[in-house]
Amino acid sequence: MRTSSRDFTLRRARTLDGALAVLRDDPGTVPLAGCTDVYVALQFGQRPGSRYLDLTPLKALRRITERDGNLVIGALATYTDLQRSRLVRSRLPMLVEASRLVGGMQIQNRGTVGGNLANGSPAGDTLPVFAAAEAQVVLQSTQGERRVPFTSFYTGYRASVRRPDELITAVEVPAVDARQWFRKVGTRAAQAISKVVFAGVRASTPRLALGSVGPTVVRLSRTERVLGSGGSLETAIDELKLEISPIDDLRSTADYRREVAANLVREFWARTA
Amino acid sequence: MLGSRAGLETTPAGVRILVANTEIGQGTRTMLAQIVADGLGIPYEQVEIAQPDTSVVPDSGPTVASRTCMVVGGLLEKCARRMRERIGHTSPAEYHARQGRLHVEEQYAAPEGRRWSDETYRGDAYATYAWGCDVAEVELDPVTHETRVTKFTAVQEFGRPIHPAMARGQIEGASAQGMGWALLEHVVMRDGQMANAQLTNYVIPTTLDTPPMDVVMLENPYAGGPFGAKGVGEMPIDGPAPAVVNALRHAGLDVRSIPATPEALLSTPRLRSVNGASDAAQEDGAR
Amino acid sequence: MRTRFTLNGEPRELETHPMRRLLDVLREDCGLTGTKEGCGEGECGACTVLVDGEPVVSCLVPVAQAEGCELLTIEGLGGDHPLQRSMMTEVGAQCGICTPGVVLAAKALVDAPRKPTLARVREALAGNLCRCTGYEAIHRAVLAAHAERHAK
Ligand SMILES: Cc1cc2nc3c(=O)[nH]c(=O)nc-3n(C[C@H](O)[C@H](O)[C@H](O)COP(=O)(O)OP(=O)(O)OC[C@H]3O[C@@H](n4cnc5c(N)ncnc54)[C@H](O)[C@@H]3O)c2cc1C
Ligand code: FES
Ligand code: FES
Repeated sequence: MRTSSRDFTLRRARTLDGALAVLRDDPGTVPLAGCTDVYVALQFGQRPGSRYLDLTPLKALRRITERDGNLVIGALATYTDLQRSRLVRSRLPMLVEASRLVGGMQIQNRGTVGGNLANGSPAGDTLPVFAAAEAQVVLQSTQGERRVPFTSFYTGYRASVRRPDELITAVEVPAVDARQWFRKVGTRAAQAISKVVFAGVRASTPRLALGSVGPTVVRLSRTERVLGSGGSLETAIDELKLEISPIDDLRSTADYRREVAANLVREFWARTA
Repeated sequence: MLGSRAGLETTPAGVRILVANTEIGQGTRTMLAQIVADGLGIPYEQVEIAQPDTSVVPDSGPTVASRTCMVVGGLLEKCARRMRERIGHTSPAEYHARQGRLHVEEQYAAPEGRRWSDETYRGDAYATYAWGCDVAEVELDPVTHETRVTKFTAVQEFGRPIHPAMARGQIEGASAQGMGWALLEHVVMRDGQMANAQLTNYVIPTTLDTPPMDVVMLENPYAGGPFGAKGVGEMPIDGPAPAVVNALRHAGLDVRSIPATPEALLSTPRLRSVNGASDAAQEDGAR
Repeated sequence: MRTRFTLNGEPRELETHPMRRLLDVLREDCGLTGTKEGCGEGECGACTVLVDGEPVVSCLVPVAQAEGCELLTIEGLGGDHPLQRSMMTEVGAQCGICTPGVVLAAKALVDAPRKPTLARVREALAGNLCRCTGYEAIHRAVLAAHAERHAK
């Protein structure tokens, strides 16, 4: 590891209240879950912080349950947990598909939903799923709990409304009563960071979201409006191209992302018809 | 390279191979020990290999160019046969106990009719070559422009495999690398440095990217090589990318460079006619 | 910080910085160098060990998170697991850097009674990069080991 751990401190959370108190008293503290983002950053010589708080002893945050018609996914649920969960399989198959395509088995065994959301990479594979499913992010601090609609959670590139004294404790997903479709484009079939990632729900007003085509995950509200009001697919695609702002980077090109994003919307529309 | 030498000496347990070639997983040690064991007619377990340190081994030339088996292995086969003549019917270990250490060494000489100059590095560097033919079957995804090799067949003739399972592994491994090169492995240079020198962004194939492979090893023993063998080190990496590119051309894409990433294929012109093998001819005619 | 875990069946207790990588603790403090570092960034799987039976990449695990867990490294297999033998006979290892991780990642498939399909083998090993073999010999080794392990 390129960053030495010597001058770091680590505390292990014993209770949720205790963890929240640590964050209140020292908001610079960096939470640790599966460490599949944090330890990569450390390996690359970055320093996400110097004081860390291990959340993994908080087993209650790993649960996946149903409450008031919502699917409630604890922040510490891993990709393997999601694939094994009967609830997720029956209610949100597109999340199972997304989880199956994360990294490889070793990453799926450790990486968590909360980590994916908090890390906030625009390539995070669960983000379009939650955006299309109209999920809410549950945030908790010593001052209490609040729910933020997923579509207003991110404020910019890897920036969100989460305050440093707050933890993500869960994601709540309302019932999805329409066909779901997920597609990740990473070129390599496993261990791939998405070049473009799509999730869609074919409700009467369809809900579409794309990752890796802008600084944050994009919910395609204008494209949705065209499709929902009976406009033609190609008019919708014209809107789509105005809604996304892909860039060239080491992994792919803006042109490619734009073209494939449009193709994915066409494919979604054909497959869920 | 003409001066390459290889040696063999007796030990209390059998024999020790003295060569400068290095083992990096390709199976050199196993293969050379097999050649010596068979050349001497002794069990494989009685053959050991000295560390490839030229303070104790002769200069056998570099571990390059698929020459280790054919050239160095060939020298060792001669060493083994010469040692057998010297020790008669006893085992090397018995000979060693009775007469002390016996050391033999052979130096490479170009076969009849081959010309090569170590001064100018010109001439026929190799007395013979191995041959191969690769067939790639690909699927192109019209939504993502991604190519997937669905089946790969490699037919290779390299004299005779000394260790068939390892030779097969060499072919399969090189084929996977060749397919990765053809489709995924893109070196991005910025300011004179490789900008994607990490496994997260320099993308090599995973188990889900490599296709099932059929490997056929045709035997055509070469008189100048050990037990009929030529080299199989590098050849299998040469064919896969051209095979994949030809398959893409067969699918109508005028691919002229690798890696044929989906980003590159997006702007690859279509061939004017797509007609299997006659493609190139028609294209030339159209120009 | 004191950390306790079970390592290859033996209880262990050691004093170390809680954020050190499990990989380094295994190699440096426990002297078990069978676990390899290929990349240190979670990509290659060479550092795979089993934590409570599940394969994880030990380069991304702070040792504190191994507290109270059952760890299995390649040394814990003892050299005589059917998969270790079939990796030899099928030549599933060339340079060998990926091999300990591959064996641990595939162990569950070999041990489970149900015969894995080739697709299942590929999926299970998708987090283990191998630059040498092209994976074919590894797949053959896993299937052969399963057949041997469950031969009547
Ligand atoms: C080889 C490899 C392959 C990968 N492949 C993919 C992929 O295909 N798709 C993909 O989307 N991602 C991928 N990732 C990235 C990573 O695995 C995911 O983002 C994962 O979900 C992160 O979860 P974690 O628990 O490991 O996060 P950690 O590394 O523990 O934390 C990540 C960030 O989230 C914060 N955090 C964690 N939990 C909480 C919480 N409950 N409340 C507040 N903040 C919190 C941490 O402070 C940190 O800033 C890959 C990573 C690797 C190493
Ligand atoms: S060293 Fe851990 S995954 Fe490569
Ligand atoms: S044997 Fe060399 S990486 Fe797998």
